[in-house]
Amino acid sequence: MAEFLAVANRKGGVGKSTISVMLTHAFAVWGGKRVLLLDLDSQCNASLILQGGEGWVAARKAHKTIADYFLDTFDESAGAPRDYLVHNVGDVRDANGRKPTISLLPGSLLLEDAQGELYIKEARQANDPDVVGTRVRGRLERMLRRFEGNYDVVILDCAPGLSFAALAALKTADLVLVPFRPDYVSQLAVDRVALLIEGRRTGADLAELPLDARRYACVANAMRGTGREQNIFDEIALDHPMLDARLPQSSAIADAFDFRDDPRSIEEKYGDATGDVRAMYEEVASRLTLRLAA
Amino acid sequence: MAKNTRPLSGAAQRKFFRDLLRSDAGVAPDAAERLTEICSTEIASIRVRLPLVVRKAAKPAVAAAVKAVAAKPVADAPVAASGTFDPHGFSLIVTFRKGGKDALIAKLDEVSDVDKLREIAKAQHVSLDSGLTDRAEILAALVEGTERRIAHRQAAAS
Repeated sequence: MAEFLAVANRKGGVGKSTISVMLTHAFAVWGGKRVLLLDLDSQCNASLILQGGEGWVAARKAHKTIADYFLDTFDESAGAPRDYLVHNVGDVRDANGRKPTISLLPGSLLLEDAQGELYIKEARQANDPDVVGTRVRGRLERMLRRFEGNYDVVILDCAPGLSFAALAALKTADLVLVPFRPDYVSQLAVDRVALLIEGRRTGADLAELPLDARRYACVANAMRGTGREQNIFDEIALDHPMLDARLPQSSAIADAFDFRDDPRSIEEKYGDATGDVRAMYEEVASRLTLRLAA
Repeated sequence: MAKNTRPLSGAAQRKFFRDLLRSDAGVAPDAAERLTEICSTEIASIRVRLPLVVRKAAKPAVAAAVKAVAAKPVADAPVAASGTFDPHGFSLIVTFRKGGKDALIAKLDEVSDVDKLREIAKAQHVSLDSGLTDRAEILAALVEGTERRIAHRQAAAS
């Protein structure tokens, strides 16, 4: 059975897609795992990083996108999950020179529209908006779960905001990784997404849950090593579980997300930042294992 | 009754006790902490009336504590590292939240230079009235500004 890892934050621009892709590569190459990435963000950045622009267009033409999957199989009358996946994506190879097992359910620009359609469809069965919303989210949760049999790790790259798909992903995940940038607004965003993940209404309610019992962990991204950033990191760490690993602001990382047709080793891809990526991967893998063992 | 009250336990109950006790000017900060601990240990849960009152710590207690510290002779213990003063050398918020007002006042008291206190305020986004010149007043303003920043963050997540 697959382990589900969601990468989420209600704030945009904190590195959700890039970290999702890093961990996809890391679990596949260093962990030897069969990895599936579900692109739940209509910006589709993870899809573009993993398969390039042409690959993504081909997937859309073949109706292999998350929107197609949700629309076609929502009522469970048609379509098998595997029909919507693209295999052998990514531009890295393993130590033996082979492409690792990475599959992708590509993102769609139409994902919001598709969720709207699903809501309307479900609203024909019930009048209460809360009931309709809960049903749509519950159905999407089950749809995400359908992939668990064929993969070791399923990574859910969530959109910012509160789409049904993002809420379903947060519910489904065994562990939620919350990337943040060390600035004031990101700090507030971490507080909010933490309430959502743990189903708490206030910070005081959340504080009752010990840090080591939380279903999420935060990771600092784009750190430049200033004192101000360290202060913000320490302030967030008072209230939220934090990875020791942190990602620096680095041209090596920025360059790594330019899709290339010629696969290279993961070390070549991430260059000077390889150690940081590996440290993050090892901590995430360890936390996933601990959560599942608990 | 249930509609007008709310149960509290654990950290929320502890915070309620702490805020309540600190809001009384007649209770010294250390006594407020001690009583908070005792109440939190002895009482499993409480039921409070709604709406919950947002309490601010009594200013006289803060000012008195600051005055007491500021009146002591100040040893010049710079926050500086390798000769350069770092206004981010410690976090006002982290220091306050880990050790309370007394800890923050004690930490700030290590900084003898008023201009450096102003640097800390500016760097850590705490508003200071430019008219303040008295060191004790600046220390008190830093503590109160830190509390306001914490309150802003709590409000933002509500």
